[in-house]
Amino acid sequence: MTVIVKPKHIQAFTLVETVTALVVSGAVFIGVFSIFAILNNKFEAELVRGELVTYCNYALDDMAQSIRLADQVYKDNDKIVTRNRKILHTYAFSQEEGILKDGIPIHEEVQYNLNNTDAGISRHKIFYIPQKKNGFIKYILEKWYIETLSDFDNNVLKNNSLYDPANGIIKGSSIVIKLHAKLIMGWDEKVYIKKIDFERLAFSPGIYLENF
Amino acid sequence: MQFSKSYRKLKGFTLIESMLGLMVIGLVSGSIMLGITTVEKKLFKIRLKEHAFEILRNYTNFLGSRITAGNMPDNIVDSGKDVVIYKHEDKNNIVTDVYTAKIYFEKNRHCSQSCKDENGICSNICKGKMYSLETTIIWPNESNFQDTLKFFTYQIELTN
Repeated sequence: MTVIVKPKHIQAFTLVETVTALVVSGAVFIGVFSIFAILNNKFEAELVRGELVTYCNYALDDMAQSIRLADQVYKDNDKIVTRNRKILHTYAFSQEEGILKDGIPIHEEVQYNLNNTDAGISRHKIFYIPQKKNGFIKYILEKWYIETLSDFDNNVLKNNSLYDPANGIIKGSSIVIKLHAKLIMGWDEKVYIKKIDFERLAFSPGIYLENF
Repeated sequence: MQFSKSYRKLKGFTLIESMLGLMVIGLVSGSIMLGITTVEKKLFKIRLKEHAFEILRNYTNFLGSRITAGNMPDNIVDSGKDVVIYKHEDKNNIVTDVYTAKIYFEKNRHCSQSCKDENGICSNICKGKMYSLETTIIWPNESNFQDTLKFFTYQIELTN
């Protein structure tokens, strides 16, 4: 007679195996999640940076165009005024609203209906929205700087050989516009990701002929 | 009476299985890291291009104004200057990284056939003067980000 003694054997993970598996999978999950979060933040920051760059370039191009066509450019308190015969434009700076042209925040509006029969059906393509509704700060325009090239050269550039050899009248008729912006992407205005500077140099033949 | 005994059997991965698993993990993480590095490099290249574009546009405008005013820049003396197209500063305003580029220009006078002499060179018979202006920026001089931007424009000279 053969008696087989077979103890009842239940296959299962031990406590150590389970805990090890949990720790390893947890670490992998945290790693993957943090990579995803970092990439997502970078991607969003890059999108916002693109938005800021587009806005600043658009605003600066508008100002440079007005200066090129102007016979006179002068400061009126904190505003810049460009005058081309009877056409007058004022530009002002506001941290909340961006650059104001003739008192209106500068923006590019795309009107889909050219006949304008459906008033209101339009879309703002380029605009300045530095903050989300929940208070999250995306970016901020820190300050602007508008001077003639000769003043700018004396005060800021000092030994910039790029703009050196021209005569004084050309320098006096070339206006430098600088915009300093901060990419923040957070809740605290003081903590920023990076500073971004924009610059335009606009020569006004009208001012040149006036000064000649 | 006969007894049979069942031995405890240890189950585990074989060497080949472990190596395969490690290889797959290595490949996936490697490709993710490579992807991130490539994207960051491309983004930096775009940023350099943005800066260079802005510098070249301002410089072209400045040269245009000099041509307008008859204050001609000399191709040989003034061309080929070094400009900073990217500068990284830390929180203490210490510059940690700088990329420079070289900026060139070439101007040529253009005129109608009636203003040209027998050698085909623009003479001063006609008062109106027009120049073509080509500006180029090449950056950075020694790096794998090397790239070029060119502007071409025409500019008239104001004469009295």
